Amino acid sequence: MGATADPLDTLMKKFEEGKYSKKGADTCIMCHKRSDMVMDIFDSVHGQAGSNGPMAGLQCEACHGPQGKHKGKNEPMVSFGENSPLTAQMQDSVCTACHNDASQMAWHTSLHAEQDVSCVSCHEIHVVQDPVMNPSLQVETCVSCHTKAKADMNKRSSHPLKWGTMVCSDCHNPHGSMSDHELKGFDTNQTCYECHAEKRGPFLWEHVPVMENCANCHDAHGSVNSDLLKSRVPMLCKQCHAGDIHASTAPGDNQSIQTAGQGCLNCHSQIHGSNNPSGKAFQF
Amino acid sequence: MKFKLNIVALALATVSTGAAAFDFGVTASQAKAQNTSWKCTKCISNQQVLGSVTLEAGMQDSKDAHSANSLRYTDGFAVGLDADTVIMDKGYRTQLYSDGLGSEQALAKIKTGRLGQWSMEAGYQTSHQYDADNAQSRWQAKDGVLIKQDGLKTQELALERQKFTLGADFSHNRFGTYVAMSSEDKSGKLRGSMSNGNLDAINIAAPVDYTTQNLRAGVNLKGDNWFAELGYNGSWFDNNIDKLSIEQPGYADAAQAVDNQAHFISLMGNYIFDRSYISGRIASGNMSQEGDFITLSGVAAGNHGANAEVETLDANVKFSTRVMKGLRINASVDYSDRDNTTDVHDYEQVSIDGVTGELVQNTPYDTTRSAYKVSANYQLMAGQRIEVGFDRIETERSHQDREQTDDNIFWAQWRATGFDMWDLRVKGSYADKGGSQFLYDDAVNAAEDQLMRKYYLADKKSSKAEVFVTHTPTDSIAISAHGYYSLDDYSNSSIGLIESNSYGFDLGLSWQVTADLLLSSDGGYQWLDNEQTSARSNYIGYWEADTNEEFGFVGAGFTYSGLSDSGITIGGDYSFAISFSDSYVDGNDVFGMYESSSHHANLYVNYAVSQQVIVGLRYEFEGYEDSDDTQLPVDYYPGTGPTGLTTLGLLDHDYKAHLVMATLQYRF
Repeated sequence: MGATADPLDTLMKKFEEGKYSKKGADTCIMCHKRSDMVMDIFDSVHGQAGSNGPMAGLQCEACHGPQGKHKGKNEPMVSFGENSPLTAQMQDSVCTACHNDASQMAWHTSLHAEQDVSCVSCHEIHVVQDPVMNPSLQVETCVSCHTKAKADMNKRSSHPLKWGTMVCSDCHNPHGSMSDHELKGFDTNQTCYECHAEKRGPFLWEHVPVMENCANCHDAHGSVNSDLLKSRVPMLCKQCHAGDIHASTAPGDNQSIQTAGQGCLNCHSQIHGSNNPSGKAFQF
Repeated sequence: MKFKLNIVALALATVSTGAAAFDFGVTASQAKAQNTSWKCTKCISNQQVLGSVTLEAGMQDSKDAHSANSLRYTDGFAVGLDADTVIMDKGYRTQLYSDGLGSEQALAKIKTGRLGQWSMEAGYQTSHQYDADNAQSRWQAKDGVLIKQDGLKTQELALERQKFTLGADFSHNRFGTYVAMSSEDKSGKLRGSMSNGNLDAINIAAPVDYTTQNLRAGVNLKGDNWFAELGYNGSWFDNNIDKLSIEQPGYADAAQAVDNQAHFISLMGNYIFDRSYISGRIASGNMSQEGDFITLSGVAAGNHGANAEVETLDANVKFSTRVMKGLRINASVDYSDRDNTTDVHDYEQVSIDGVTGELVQNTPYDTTRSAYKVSANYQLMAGQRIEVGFDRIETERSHQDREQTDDNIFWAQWRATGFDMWDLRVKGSYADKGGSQFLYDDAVNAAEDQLMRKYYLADKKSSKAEVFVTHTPTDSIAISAHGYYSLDDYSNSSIGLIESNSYGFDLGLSWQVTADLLLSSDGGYQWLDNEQTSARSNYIGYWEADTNEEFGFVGAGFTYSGLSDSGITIGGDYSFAISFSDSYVDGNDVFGMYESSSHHANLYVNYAVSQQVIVGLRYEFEGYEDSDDTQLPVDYYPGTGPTGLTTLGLLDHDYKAHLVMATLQYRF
């Protein structure tokens, strides 16, 4: 599967020489018109004549490099995917030359790039619609590598990713972001507030771990507990409030108001913060 | 179940990286302008309209609305529209997309524009999440008032989201700009509770009526090797129910989520050097609320609202450089500051210990977090890389038990993608969390045990290990395995969370049995264990608890196209998942059963009447069951539940749901 240096050296030399064809895509089509995969580019966003995309520029050679002596002497062209002689980084340089915008600007310093995941690992180019851009198909692409995330979607509580109501890119930017975990928000909480703005406050009475990081109590990918909680109520609450007088009591069965019904939240129902002047304990 | 192994992603790394980074992008090419003689008269699609539209109709049969979370339709007649269509015209492209339009989980959007120049997009999404349809309560909400009924009323706990989106972007040469806005209404009822401030509580079906509007906009410039953007993010949250009142003596009103807004201005950009990349962002934000207090009882005269406000500042820089052949160094710095500028006042509190009239000041919590990360990525030999890294995170906090925490994280990873048929990845990390002395003065109740350590502040030693293996014994078989283990040892905690660990595995198989038959299967199991202790001051009432959680899933799927000459394709999948949790306090199982399980099956057959028209039949099944023994009936005999608690009844699920849909697809 590995590549010898020769094709790569040839490609780099060709690229530097810059001997592009004289007729652009017409030259390519003369030989490749029988390939459905090749011709499908004209159904895709990249193959639209009259647009400001590659067809307004170097056409096929915008991505596949200068023709050089490809015609006749069968010199290699820039190709993509697992059999390409180019490294993932080199392949990506073709895409990022144009796709350098707000959502892709952190690509080169992203986790995916660092792990040699290439643009074409997820994206298909010669198609009418790139499957990963289809909300009902995106999650399938992501979990083909992120298998634990796939498992988590099946837990007792999870975001509705399994059924396509949400997609991974609602929270994460797969092209990299300036935030931890490639989150789209400035931090974890700001990402959550995008859909859960009712938790944002700021409240008069703030629950400190809530204010600091939603992930202190919740596992966004899924949990065996309800409400994505990292541990069930009241055990989760008692991991911090094990020293208070009434919260330190041993959890009984459903004889205890700390356990039955909604557990600690029976009384402390405004656990994400309260704006009631008397709500310091998040009861009102 | 459709299943695709990660062989594509991993295989890319098998390529020799002997050469230095080389830019094959058009911006580095020797011919940046199109030759005007390039006409390409054949560069057009054979069709102006591409894609498909699918209408499906049928029946859902279920006695529990919860099934609509997965099957998308509630009990009864079901009809939905899917579309994935593209209309192309001389560089203009319009996309129409809908998924389950007409169902409980529907999405539709339209996008049009001239590629590379401008586009406009509009979308609509509705999502229903059903919790339970059998909550029982003597109180029923009308707006923000829970009115007492003559008897128990069965109520549905479900949330409905309706979201509208609009967006536009424009670019010209090196200039670009965009705007995107959304408005989402969330309504329905969810599990809630009201307290009398003592030890009585009434669980309620709490009404929800929110609107959230978000706006993003930006202007940017870019060159061959750089990009810069000035951006704005705004969000406005409006709650039409600012308080809940309940018709029950002794119960005070409860404040609900407060109207609030947030605004962020950001400046970000990147620069690509010959061998290095740098990207950065700085963002300044403000979050504020604007609600009046729902009561002025216990509030100083002249103070009508909290006027809570928080200023934020975030700055991030990431840098990556190839210092020599095969060696890449990465570094980043993240800074985040939260400054709570809310005025501090006295507020009268109610205490469960019967101490009323106590004046307490609100606490404006501030945090400052700095993270420094550095790592090296070195190619040991062709197809093998080793990465090592060190992260240090310093967090300062005001008014908390601990003023500063420091995290030191060491990690390493070895990747091997050069072996025939095998791809391997092994990753491990060790982290040590420490910090300043714990404080026990104003911040802590004097009756609290001073050995109490809140887990997100406590000293902690963490170890993690992960192994990924992908094996492709033949071109038609791919096997993947992923194992993981993590241990969090709260090394200096005597009271609180003492230890937490999790471990498990995932397995996957994809087998192209014949050219027409693809089989896939996956599954896994996970264990999560927590050990915690508790005590009042001086170890009064000391107890220990172990919580053991387990989760397992298994799935299998197939697609068969052996009858495609007859126009028939068949596929299906099945999955099963089980979650459960057990807690033992001093060795006693205190909570009873807490478990959920689900079976989901899907089987379809399609028949191509012609190249354009495809008819099909789809059957879906879900069997779902969950339990929680700590739930109580609304009315229970004294001694079988706590005094003073009124619940919503037993909200467990146990159902089997069926969905049969006939489909008619037209392909353009």
